[in-house]
Amino acid sequence: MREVKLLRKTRTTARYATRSNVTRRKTVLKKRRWKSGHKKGTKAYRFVIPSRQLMSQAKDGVENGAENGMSDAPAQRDGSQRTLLSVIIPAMNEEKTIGAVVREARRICRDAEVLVIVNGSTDGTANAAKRAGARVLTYAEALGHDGGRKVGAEAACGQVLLFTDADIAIPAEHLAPYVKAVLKGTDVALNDYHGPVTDHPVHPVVEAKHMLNSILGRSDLRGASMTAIPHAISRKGLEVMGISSLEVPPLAQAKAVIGGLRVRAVHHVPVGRMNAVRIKKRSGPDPLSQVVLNDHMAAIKWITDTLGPRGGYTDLKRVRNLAR
Amino acid sequence: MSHRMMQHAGGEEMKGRSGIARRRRTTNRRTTVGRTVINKRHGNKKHVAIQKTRRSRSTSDQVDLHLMWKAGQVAGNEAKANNTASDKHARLVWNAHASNVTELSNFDLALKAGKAFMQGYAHASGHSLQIVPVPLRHSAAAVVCACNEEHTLGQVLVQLKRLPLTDIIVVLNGTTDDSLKQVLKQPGLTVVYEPDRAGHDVGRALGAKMTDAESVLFVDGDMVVSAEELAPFLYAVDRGQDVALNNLTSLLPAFAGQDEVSRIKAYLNRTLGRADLGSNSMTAVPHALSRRMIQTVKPASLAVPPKAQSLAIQHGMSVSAPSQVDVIRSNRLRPGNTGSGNDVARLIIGDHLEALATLLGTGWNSAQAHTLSRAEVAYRRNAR
Repeated sequence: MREVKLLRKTRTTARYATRSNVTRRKTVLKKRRWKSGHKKGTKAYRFVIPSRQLMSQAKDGVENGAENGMSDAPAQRDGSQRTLLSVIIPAMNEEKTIGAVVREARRICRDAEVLVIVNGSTDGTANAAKRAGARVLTYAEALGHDGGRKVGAEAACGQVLLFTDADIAIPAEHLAPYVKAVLKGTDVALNDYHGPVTDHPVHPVVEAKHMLNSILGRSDLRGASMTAIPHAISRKGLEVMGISSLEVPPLAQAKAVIGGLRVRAVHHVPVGRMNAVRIKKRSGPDPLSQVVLNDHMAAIKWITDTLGPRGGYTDLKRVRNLAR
Repeated sequence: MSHRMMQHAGGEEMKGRSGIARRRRTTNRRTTVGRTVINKRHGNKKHVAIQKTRRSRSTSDQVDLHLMWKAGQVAGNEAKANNTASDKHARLVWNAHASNVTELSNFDLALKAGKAFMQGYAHASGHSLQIVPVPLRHSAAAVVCACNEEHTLGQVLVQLKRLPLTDIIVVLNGTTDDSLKQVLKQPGLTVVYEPDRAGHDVGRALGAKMTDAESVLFVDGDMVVSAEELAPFLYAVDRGQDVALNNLTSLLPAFAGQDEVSRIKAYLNRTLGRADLGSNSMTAVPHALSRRMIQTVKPASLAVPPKAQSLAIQHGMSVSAPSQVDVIRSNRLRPGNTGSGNDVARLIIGDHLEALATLLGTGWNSAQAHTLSRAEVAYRRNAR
């Protein structure tokens, strides 16, 4: 009796301390809307079996990929001819969410290969992923998000490679558009997410992403970047970029645009809002942002090394000899 | 006025109340009183502004302007007696006087004191003065870069002549109009004539080579900026800055509304560890450079302004943006420089890439050695 009273009391004060009823209700509604796509226990593929034409295209692609020596065992290579989609999920200590993430990934289309790259984990992430039906690659040391993606891309045998993260379960409805876009001919399908552009002062990472796209002559992409998930790439795209460059996403993006691939921001998933909780938990500046900034510098270095110090931009009637 | 008083009283009363009660009261106030308060504020804007200026005047009034005026009067009387009253003489006397006054610590004070002095001088000598009294300790020059700007060039030169400059260098390149004739008519100019178009930045580099003054001010021939607005740049360089940029921060929209050029400028500054400079860049005029800076980065590198800027920061020179001149609104619009993705924008992006390339080539990585590797970051973020 006393306990109940106490509970009630804390509840009343808590209500005053936190948000009002209306705002709380709003967030609940938003979540519900976000998740409304599927019912528990039913399996509705967004992406039913693709047409024959697409499958044959896919086969060609695989042969090319096999020549490059990408997949490991011949038995798997045989299986890969039928695999359309590989979903690559790097995970480190994410046992709470990985199950849901894998289940959502498996809902995208039939016979999708879901690869979970468990790295540096000390909890039950690998088991949880296996239980949910994923192929698991385990590494004792931490690889980082991008390192995990690179390792996953090496092992993947699908026609379309979809990259997502283990910490947010994005519904299959919101993952399918990327796969669809790649099947329709896009080589790199990016998340149409530009980061918090309205913040003042703006976050350096957001600035760097915008800057890279405008250097590449693709200011229409705005802040869309391969640093953000989800994104999907085709086999052809993977060949042009090179698997190793996946470890430095801005570099891969630069290689894709300059290599003449079709890069498009396809679908918007508000990953910033979904990530927000994690950011609040931490104290001090995010060490990841410095890594991302260095990645952008690496991309610029590659651009200036391959296209000359001006990155292919003209001098516009400037007569430099005069100044010497 | 009465309303503000009421609000104030309410605020004090509320301080003593508990959290819940305060919250309730806040909601009440928001629905009724709050709205009127906001309206009132708008009405009172003028009043607030007046108060502000009055306060600032009282704090910055460390120099006795009347004394300055008196000193000017004395100097003016002397000049009248000796029949030497002229702009040049006034400037000399003022420079001698200003070096004795130690309180002139910032530009605003110095200019105010100088104006008082000049008023006193003009009053006594009967010689009307058009000069801007900036007390400079070292020699200063200006470089005007122009190409077919006969309508504005004359006015630009008039404004420059009001400043205490030892030399004015006009760089004409690719002119097809009467600019050259106009310039040759005026005395006391150094003219660099280049029949073909060379580009504004190359013109500036050429001009910088033509002078050995301690501080060099760079302006464009297509935009008339008053001497009062140009003086702060010269003053900043004269007092030890190496690069004095035009401070455009408050004129730019928020990031979402910015063009790609402003963004890449800000990115370069941030990469150089000078995020505080925002989008201020040597691509914008007016700006002033010190002789030390020009010699360190070599005049030739001024042809690519962002490169010169990044070299200056890399060499540990002091770079600041002391003053603002609105060049965005008054800039002449040409078919080449309007809209996103135009020729000029591409040129500037190329310039910044060049700057970043040189930065990467000269051991930028060593400066960033303290950053963590991917795996370390992963352990920081995801370890249990």
